[in-house]
Amino acid sequence: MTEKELVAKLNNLKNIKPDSQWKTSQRGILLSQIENTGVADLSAWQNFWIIIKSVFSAVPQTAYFSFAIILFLTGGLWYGRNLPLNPNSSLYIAKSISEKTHLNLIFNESEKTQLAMQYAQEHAQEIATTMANPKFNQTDTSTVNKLNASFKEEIGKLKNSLPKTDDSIVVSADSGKDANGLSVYDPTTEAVRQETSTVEPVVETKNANQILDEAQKLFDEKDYQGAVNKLEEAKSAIQ
Amino acid sequence: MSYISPVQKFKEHSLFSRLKKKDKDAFVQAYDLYVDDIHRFVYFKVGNQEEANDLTSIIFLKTWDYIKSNSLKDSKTLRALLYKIARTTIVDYYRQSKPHISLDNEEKKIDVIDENQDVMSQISVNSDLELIRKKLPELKIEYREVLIMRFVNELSLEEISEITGKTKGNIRVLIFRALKALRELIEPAIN
Repeated sequence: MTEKELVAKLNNLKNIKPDSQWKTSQRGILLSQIENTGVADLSAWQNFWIIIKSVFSAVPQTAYFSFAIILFLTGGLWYGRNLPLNPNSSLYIAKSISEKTHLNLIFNESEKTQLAMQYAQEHAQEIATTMANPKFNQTDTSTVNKLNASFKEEIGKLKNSLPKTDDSIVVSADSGKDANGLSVYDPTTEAVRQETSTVEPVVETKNANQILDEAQKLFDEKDYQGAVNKLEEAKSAIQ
Repeated sequence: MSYISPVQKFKEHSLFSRLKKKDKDAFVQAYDLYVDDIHRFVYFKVGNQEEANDLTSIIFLKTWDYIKSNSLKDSKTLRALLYKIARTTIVDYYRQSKPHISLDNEEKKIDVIDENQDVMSQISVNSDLELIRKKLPELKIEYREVLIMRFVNELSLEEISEITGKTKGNIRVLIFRALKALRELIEPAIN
């Protein structure tokens, strides 16, 4: 006979129960004996408090543990993007995941693009700042190579996110030209055009592009501080 | 083996908390919940149906007296408290040196099988019971006690440890030895 079989046999003894008649009569006797012990009944508030405490005690510890993990992960996903981490940190991936999650939760396209730009700009800046540290730059070659590639990638992302400029001439009702394409000076429309002109942002976009190119160039020349400064400049230009 | 569902845990905790406030209804509910287990425990220790009945009644009354006059801070669960009182009551019973009738008394057949069981399970229970009825009293009392608590009434190691005042390690060793001893007693009978 194995131990398992023996345990099963012992377990079978659970079916032994006292006579139900005896149980009922005994219950009655017990009730009458304790009835006159002069103990007051519990108030509704006491009962409520006991139920609450019992619920907490009945929940398995694994449930509390799982809840804590879920809370930690959710918190990490939501607030991880604000962590002051360097790109060479092993936890930087958590920050990237948090940013991606946050981006995916934004449904307004223009807002999403703006935020993606902001992240890319921040990444580029973080990489440049990390690379500016000579101690790191000279020791960890493999990470340096990776960061070089990442920087290019982030600059590329930034450039792609910038509004596209169109060089083709578009003749519109408000172009200030007649049907033959000749400029017509009208002081009223000129004043309006100057007020509502979209020329300014195009100029800024061009500037931002140029600044980003310069930042990339400085980065390639290992002038990391210069690249950081350029990125700051690009940031204000984009804004 | 001794898995307690969250619902049961809730029920037990709620009952015990209410008992700490000396709630009578809670005590009656506790009686309904544990009378079978306590009766079985006593029965396997004293080996006599009538005395098991009497002792079970005494145990529940003693428990109520204890609840009335104590804060119950020294007991972790109601089950553990009931078993502790059951043990001391049985010890007192032995001290009074009443004639002990063991489980292998042929004239005192056990007639406490639940009537709701189907025939097949009754046969199975009967054969198992018959075998263990004969062999269980031959075991040392502490072996018998841990086997009943652990495998019949399904108490956790923590609870048995609290009831007996032994460490969990000691209880494990005791269970191992008790199973070995019981097997050694049963196997020749089967063969």
